[in-house]
Amino acid sequence: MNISKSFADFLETLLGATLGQDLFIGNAPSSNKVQDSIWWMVATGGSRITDAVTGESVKEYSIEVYRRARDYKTVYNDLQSLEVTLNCTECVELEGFDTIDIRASVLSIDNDLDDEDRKVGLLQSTIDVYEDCIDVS
Amino acid sequence: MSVRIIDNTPLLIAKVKANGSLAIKRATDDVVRISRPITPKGATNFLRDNVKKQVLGLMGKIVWSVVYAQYQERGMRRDGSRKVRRYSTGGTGKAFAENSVREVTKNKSKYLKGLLK
Repeated sequence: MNISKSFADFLETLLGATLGQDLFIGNAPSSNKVQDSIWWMVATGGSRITDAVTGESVKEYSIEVYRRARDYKTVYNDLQSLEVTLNCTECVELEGFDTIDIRASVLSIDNDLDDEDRKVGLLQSTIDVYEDCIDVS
Repeated sequence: MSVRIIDNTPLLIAKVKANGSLAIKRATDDVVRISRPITPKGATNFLRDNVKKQVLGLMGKIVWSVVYAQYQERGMRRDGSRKVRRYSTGGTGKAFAENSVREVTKNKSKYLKGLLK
């Protein structure tokens, strides 16, 4: 279980979305293959920020969550709602990861370059997790 | 004696991200504004009117979404043929996108004005 899959599973439960239909990992599929209203996420990181003498470590991941929809209000409300949840560390449970801290902020909402009538918004989150050696399969 | 350490790093990072995004938005707005009068214009304003911009986080994009935009930007075909020799509107020419971005990056510090507090 890697951080992308784990976070995507968490978003599925939280948002009521379905991976592969209106929630995607990595990028958004081309417009003629999916509906307008979708989420996608991009995970990076895995930097070790603290090392324990036992060999375990605290690692930091960055996850960007994008929201696309036809109207600004939907994008804004959905991202603000997600931000409130993510900024409550106790509310976030990622399977396979021991979450120490999570911080999120909603950044800009702007036009979708592929369609002027669509809006795209971005939420950036930083997650600190306590990790030993994990199976990333 | 005990000490208390206050780490404001997360606050600083969040502030940099938010204000950085705003600075990039200002910059992309200016690129579009500066590019307009130097963008080639024929009988219509089609190329000038079909510019889109987007700022998400710290990434700004500007797209001239017209098929021949790259030809006008380059001033010739990709293989070097069909060079544009005369522009019907004075003051316009090739490299309108590149020159606009260059103009903005010359004064990049002004886009952070008021945001560094």
